[in-house]
Amino acid sequence: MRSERDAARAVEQYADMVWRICLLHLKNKHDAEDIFQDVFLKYILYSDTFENDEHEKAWLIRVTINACKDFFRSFSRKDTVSLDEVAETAAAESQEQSDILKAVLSLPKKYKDPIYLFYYEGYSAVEIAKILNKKKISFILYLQEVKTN
Amino acid sequence: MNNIKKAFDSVKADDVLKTSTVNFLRDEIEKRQPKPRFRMLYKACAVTVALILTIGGISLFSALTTPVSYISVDINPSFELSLNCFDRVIAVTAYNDDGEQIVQNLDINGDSYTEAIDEILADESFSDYLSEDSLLTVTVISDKEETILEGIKNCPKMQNQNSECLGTNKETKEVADRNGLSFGKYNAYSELLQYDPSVTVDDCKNMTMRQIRDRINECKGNRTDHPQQNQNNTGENSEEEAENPETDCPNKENQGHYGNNGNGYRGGK
Repeated sequence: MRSERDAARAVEQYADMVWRICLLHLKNKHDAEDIFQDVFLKYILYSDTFENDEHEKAWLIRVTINACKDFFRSFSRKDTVSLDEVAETAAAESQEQSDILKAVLSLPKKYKDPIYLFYYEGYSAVEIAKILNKKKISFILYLQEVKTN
Repeated sequence: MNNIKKAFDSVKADDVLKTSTVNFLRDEIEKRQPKPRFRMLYKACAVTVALILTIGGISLFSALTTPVSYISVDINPSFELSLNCFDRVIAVTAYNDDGEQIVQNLDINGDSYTEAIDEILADESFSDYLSEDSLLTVTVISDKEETILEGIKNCPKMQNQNSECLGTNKETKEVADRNGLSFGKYNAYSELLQYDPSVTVDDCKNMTMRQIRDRINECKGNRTDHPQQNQNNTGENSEEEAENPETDCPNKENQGHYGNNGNGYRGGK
């Protein structure tokens, strides 16, 4: 089990990233908070060592996405919360940003993670395919589809 | 692309959530740690076990390496065996050149004293000193003197030897050590000194046990060229003999016959 110091550092370093992925999937703030804490709980209980920061970050992304998916599988929930609530949580500086955010959030689930990881976290298609455990070709198709939409 | 990034930039985990998560994680870590009192108990147990093992180890090491009994083996070769509380040989100390030669050939550390005695008597170099004329003196210092003397007398190799088995006290060893003699030889010297006050430690250093014993007998007026084997003498210095010392015992002028002949003395040879 990791130390309290490790836990505090991980929260400080990855909180925003985990929170964004949670919101991509859950949209309900309370559920997102639960998953957010659950992800970091998994982090402190994970006893293996990470090769480097990148490895640690990719692990957290994968665990967060899986936790969100598990959440839906367990409770068969539907997205009952309006996108406005999510938009409200974001301190968007302009209407344009808020609209973009809403647009991304309104995409089908299979596009959200690749879009976020590609455009925001800066991962390559190969890296994203690896993190999401998808074939590379599938992801390239996702991007093409997104661009054409 | 920049717009998507800017849009996501505005989504941040708030400080309240971060703080509550850190607190939540701290609680979870604490919950999963052993309770402090148990931790103290574990520590106390670990320290106690370590202490017991350390003390036990030191005690065992001390028991194995501390001499509690001594056996002096003298003909002309003189050496002492130191025994631990398990009656095992832990050291062999030579007190003259002949003894040194014997000791170099022996590998008796760890042996029981009976095994050691048999091994010594079976040693080719040592057996050179054993003859009808020689006298093997085995002297013991121990709290269980009688048991050890009995054990030595019953050693197979001790049978049919011209030998005497004696007991003495620790003080004899202390004085003998200061004088550079084995306590077995010093014990014999002390006995001779009672009859011949002129005899010195240096004289005895150069005498075989046979020569010392003959000298004692001579002084006692009981000349015996080759005294019979005497394995029953388990007393310390024979005090009753000392009560009637011969006053006309030869002094220095008569010591020539047991002085160093230049070749070293070999008992009985």
